[in-house]
Amino acid sequence: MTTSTVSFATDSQWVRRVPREGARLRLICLPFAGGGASVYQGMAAHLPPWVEVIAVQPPGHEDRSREDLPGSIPGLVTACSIALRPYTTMPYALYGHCAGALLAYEVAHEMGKRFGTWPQRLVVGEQPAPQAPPPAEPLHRQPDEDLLASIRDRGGLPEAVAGNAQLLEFLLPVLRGDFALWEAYRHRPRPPLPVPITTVRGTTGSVDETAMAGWDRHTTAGRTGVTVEGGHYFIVGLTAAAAGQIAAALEGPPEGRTSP
Amino acid sequence: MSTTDTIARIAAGAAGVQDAAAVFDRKLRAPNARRSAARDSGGLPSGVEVPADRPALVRGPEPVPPPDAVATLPEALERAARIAPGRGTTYVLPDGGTDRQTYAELYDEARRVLGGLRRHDLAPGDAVLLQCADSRTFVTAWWACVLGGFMPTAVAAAPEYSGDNAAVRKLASAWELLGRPPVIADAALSEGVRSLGDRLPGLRVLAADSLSGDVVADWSVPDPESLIVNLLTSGSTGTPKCVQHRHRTIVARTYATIAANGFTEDDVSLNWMPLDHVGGMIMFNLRDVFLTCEHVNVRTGSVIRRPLLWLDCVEKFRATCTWAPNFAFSLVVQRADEIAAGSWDLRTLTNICNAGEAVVARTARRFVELLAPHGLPADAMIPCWGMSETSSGVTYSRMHRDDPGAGTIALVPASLDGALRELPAGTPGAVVVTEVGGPIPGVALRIVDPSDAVLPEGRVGRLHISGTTVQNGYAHNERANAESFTGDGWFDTGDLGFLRDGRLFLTGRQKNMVIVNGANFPAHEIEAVVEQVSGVRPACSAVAGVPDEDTGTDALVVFFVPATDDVPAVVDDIRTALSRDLALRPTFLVPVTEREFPRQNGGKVQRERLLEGWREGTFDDRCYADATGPTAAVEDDADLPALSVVWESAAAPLRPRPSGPVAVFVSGPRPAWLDRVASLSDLGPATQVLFVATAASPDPLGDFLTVAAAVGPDAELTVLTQGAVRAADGDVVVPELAGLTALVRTAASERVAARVSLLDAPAGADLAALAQLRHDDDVVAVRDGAPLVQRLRTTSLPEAFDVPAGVLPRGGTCLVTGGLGGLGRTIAEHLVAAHGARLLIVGRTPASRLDDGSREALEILASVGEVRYRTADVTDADTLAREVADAEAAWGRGLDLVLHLAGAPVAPQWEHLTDHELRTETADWLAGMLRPKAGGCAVVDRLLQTRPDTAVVVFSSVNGVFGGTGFGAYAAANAVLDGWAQRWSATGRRAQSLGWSMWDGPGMNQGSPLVAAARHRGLTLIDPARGTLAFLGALHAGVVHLLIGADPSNEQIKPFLAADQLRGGTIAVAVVPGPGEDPQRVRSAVAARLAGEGIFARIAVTTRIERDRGGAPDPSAVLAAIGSGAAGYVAPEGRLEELVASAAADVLSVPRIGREDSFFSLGCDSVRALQLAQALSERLGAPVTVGSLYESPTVRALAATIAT
Repeated sequence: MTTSTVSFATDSQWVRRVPREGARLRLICLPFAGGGASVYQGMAAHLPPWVEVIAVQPPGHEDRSREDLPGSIPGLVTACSIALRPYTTMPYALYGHCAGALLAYEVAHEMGKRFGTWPQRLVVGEQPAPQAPPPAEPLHRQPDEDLLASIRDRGGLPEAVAGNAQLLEFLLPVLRGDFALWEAYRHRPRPPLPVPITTVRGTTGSVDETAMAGWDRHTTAGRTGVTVEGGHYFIVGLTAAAAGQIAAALEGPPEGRTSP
Repeated sequence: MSTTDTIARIAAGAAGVQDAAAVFDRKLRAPNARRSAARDSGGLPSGVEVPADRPALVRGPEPVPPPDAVATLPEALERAARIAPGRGTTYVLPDGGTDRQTYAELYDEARRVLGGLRRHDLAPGDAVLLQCADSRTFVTAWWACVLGGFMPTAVAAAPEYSGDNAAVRKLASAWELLGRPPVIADAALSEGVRSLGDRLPGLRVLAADSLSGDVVADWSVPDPESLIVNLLTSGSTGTPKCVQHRHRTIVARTYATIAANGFTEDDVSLNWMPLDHVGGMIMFNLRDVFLTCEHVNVRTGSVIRRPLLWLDCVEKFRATCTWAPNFAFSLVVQRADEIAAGSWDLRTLTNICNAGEAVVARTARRFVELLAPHGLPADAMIPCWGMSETSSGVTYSRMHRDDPGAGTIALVPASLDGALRELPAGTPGAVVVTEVGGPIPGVALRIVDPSDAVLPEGRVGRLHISGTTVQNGYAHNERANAESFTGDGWFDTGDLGFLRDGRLFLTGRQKNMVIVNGANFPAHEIEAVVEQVSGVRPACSAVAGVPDEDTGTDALVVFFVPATDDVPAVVDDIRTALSRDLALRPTFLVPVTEREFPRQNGGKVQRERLLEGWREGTFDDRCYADATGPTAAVEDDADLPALSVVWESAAAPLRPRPSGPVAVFVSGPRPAWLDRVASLSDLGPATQVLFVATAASPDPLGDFLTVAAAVGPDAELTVLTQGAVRAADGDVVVPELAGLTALVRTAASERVAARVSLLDAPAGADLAALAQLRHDDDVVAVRDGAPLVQRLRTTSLPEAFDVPAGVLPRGGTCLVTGGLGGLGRTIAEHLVAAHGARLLIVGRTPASRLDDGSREALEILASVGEVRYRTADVTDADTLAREVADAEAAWGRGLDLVLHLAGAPVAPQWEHLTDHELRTETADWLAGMLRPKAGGCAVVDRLLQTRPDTAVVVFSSVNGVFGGTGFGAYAAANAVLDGWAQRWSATGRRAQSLGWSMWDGPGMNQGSPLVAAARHRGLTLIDPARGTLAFLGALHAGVVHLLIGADPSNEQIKPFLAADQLRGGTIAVAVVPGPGEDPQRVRSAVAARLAGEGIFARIAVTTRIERDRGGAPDPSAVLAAIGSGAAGYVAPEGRLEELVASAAADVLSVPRIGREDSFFSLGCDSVRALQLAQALSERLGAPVTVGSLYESPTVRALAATIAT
């Protein structure tokens, strides 16, 4: 399959989905800071037919831009988990990219603890473990130019966008708001998840394997590490090969299956 | 007294029986399956009449043959060899390799074989039989005959030639019919065919390889009017029919189909259907010689064994067209997982001809949908109609993936008898008929009535055809020719159908013909096989085919008069005989008595009358269904079962009430039609008690409790109501009375009286007449003088994750009664978080005194959206009205939805079930149950009066319909809720009542005895995620009264299902012998006694019969006794038997197979036999032939055969 455009169906304000009849697993995807559900187009296009991709649209983003940005991480986690609950009637996994990985981690705990439905696997991309110290120089406190430059340096801002003043004016508050939210994330120690974790790095990404190894302590079911082609934002313009590696991870040994 | 009770009593009367119980054993039909197209379909819209504005007569365009057209078959082959010598046929061999034969080679090889044939004293016009396993040999020999002017006559190869089977009989009868012609047999078959010499003295077998020599024979151009092809259409036991075609008819169809489909020499066609079928040789191979295009031939067995090989070959050879009958598409769509996981490029495939048996739109559509991701063009599916008599396909249509209505018509089932009425595509309950298109050039169609007069369009009648492609006639069969051709030159196809806008739609068949997997079987041939079985009385069988939408082919129904008492054994023997002799698998076997077996004066069997009785359910107590029906038991990860509650015409009529004194108790004031009413003290001694309740009754449910405590256990208690149910359009329910339906069912199960039932008249109707009547069913609505009964129908809830905007728009407002209980909390969270709904939740507990769980729930809700919690009793109308008005003012929006969840806790009564049986239930407890649910509804009703657009959904329980021993009050309260939903819905409001089994929550877990007891009764424990999804699906389905979580395959729920939701049915009798009695003797005595009464039951001897407190036998336990007694499972012995048994169990999809079990009793048919042979060959690493399965049909026998 070479096509890379798929159209998401809007199930609810939170959920965009590409329905796949006969799928065996749902992959629930949570976007990075500044991003919305559409960043998972490539994921939906390239994953095999046994995976149904669910992309979460947080308030304040893309087609929800008229709503306020999330005010708190716990509120976001709670709402997100409730909205996703009916999707857990079949086996599911979570994928989160960058800050989305922290959200995925929190959602995994919430779903398991409050609803008793653990994911089959937690997949995290380009994000150090939750206990990693917060950045010394938070981006959200930097002037517009510096904030944009940092994101552009990591490949998160295409030239066309960076050069469009109108678009930037629209994007900046979203970026700043998301970074403010997630740069304030403080890890609350909890028992490890009974769920295997896969960490995914870009070959030219910004998180090294040592930082990824920090995820080890969050699972009793083992961690596997994967390196895929691309930079920090490899998920945008995801290659078929990278999607194949993620699919292989999803197919991995089923230790840590769902709830008792 | 019910039928089963009567039977149990008869059984108990047999010598040596201590106890006996009888229950119905019925199998659940697959969803959407219908017993019969012509069945009554209550509740369907009336539809729009199909225009009948012109006569049903249509002519195809004038044929325009191409400029270089040839007039005969030999010229076509010569031309192909000349102008396209390099093109030809690729044969895909069983081992996966290929063998190529160009048209030049075919022409050369055919002439060499012709040279060989000429040595055998054949004259033009003589027939030659063909028996070839190898396709290339067959095609070459066929064309050799054509070049020589001999008439090739293909007969399917027999599975083996030593025994007696359909293929051998067909070969023998064709040989006789056609004047004992020679048989060309290829290397694989010639030995077997020769062995028939004893049976067919003088049989000449020409070995195909001996025919081809050095001589390249000449041929001369024949007269286009000379006969050239024989096609056998039937003849496995009786006189065969042999269709004969001239060059002219075959040539005409070929050019016409090329024109109609736009085929060109650049096409690549793929055929894997048998070459003895008109579709394989005439519709494909011969057409491709005319086209001079590439042709691919794949063995039928290869595709049957591995259906997706079809797709592999399409991709590999870049095929543009192919064909198959409906069953083949079913084989593919059953492999959805494999298709999703695999990868094919099907972009070239633009023409898939769907012909050879009835086209099932659902299957065809699913096929194109499943293959869409693999590039299959959206409009590739071409429904087609034709038959051997018309030289194959003569009408073509086209379906389109994106337009579900294209190529089909949805009809009101009852309208098939008269003026057809069309429904919107997708209407549930409609009959969907596929369009097969208009006629190709040179062909005309018409639809006629029994006197051959042409009907208007839009009426069903017999299909006649005339034109250039129609056969010359049946060989040596004057009777068939006289019956088939009209005086004015039309051929009667035997098919039934109608025309619309000049396009043909087929609805069935006139002739006694059963079509299975594309093969035609005259009914009398099947009957001949049935009557060979020793347990069947001679000349006492009748068979019929009924369309089965699930399989896309005919379901075979076999009626027979048994000659022994052991009917189940006869049933098994018939199954084995039909499988062995005809490779047929009967769907239903129905034993009937000699008296029930209808014959005309001349002795002719009236099949139609038996079939009518079967459709009406006359034989539902002894309809042995195929053992491998769909298993519908609810698995843990399956969707929750949903059942819609409907009212349907009752099968049994209303009868007059037996004469005798009747005590009439009236709830409320005495109505004018009654002279005298009974007092409570009159009820005890009365044998017949009437309880009358109307809208004027102040407390009908409380009064019923009083009456239930007063009536004698042997009395017959009949409840007469006015407006208790909504059984017909226009009914307005009095909700309190609806509660009586649940009390009546509870009273019946608690055996409050010998018989308890309810008859309901519409509100305002006369009850005096009703007081004179009775009915067999427990809850009956009498409308327009006819009885209607409440039934359940399986419904598949759409998978939806949003709330329909008509119920609650995004950001809409909703009142939730019942506070923050587990159920309300889950639903409320979802509405707020996922859909941005704004909620007003009312509960009796003040926010400050909420327990920890509820407080946490409220905090969570508040953290994700806008939620108001207010303290109000749902029965406090003023407070509730004020709170709603306040909320609306704050929201700046009216109320969109009311979710009424309030209810009194029912769990405490589990500890004291006996106290809560109706005879001892207190009025206080009943009132406590009714207050939040029924009282709450009355208050909601007041709120709704000023809010006409507000939707309402009430959360009810399955017990509202089922009642429940020890749960009468609870059941009644829920039935009142259901009644309110019906009342609101009748006024045009969007209202639904969702009756849940039970939600998982505190105190509910899979291990608890409460949950286990409910599970035994078919009630599933619903986890919140699945429940939320079912809730959303139910809102989308919009059904007013829905039960969710009740398993329709459970024995205690089956009696509530509509008759056509069940397939087959037998009566199972369990008997307990007295002390010291011989079990076998007792069993025989019971069998003989029941048979004497014309009862065909399955009988098992057991040690004990489980009964409930009311004395009713536990159906599951009785059936389990039958299962273990009758199956006689004997474990396979040794590795080989185990291997055979496990392979057979896999292929036949049954849990296990014993060493003495016959494969054919367990659903083996010819397709599965092939698959089983393949599976065994693979597992054993050595070939196992299909023939050996037929010869050794049990695990033990087959293992022994394999071992030697």
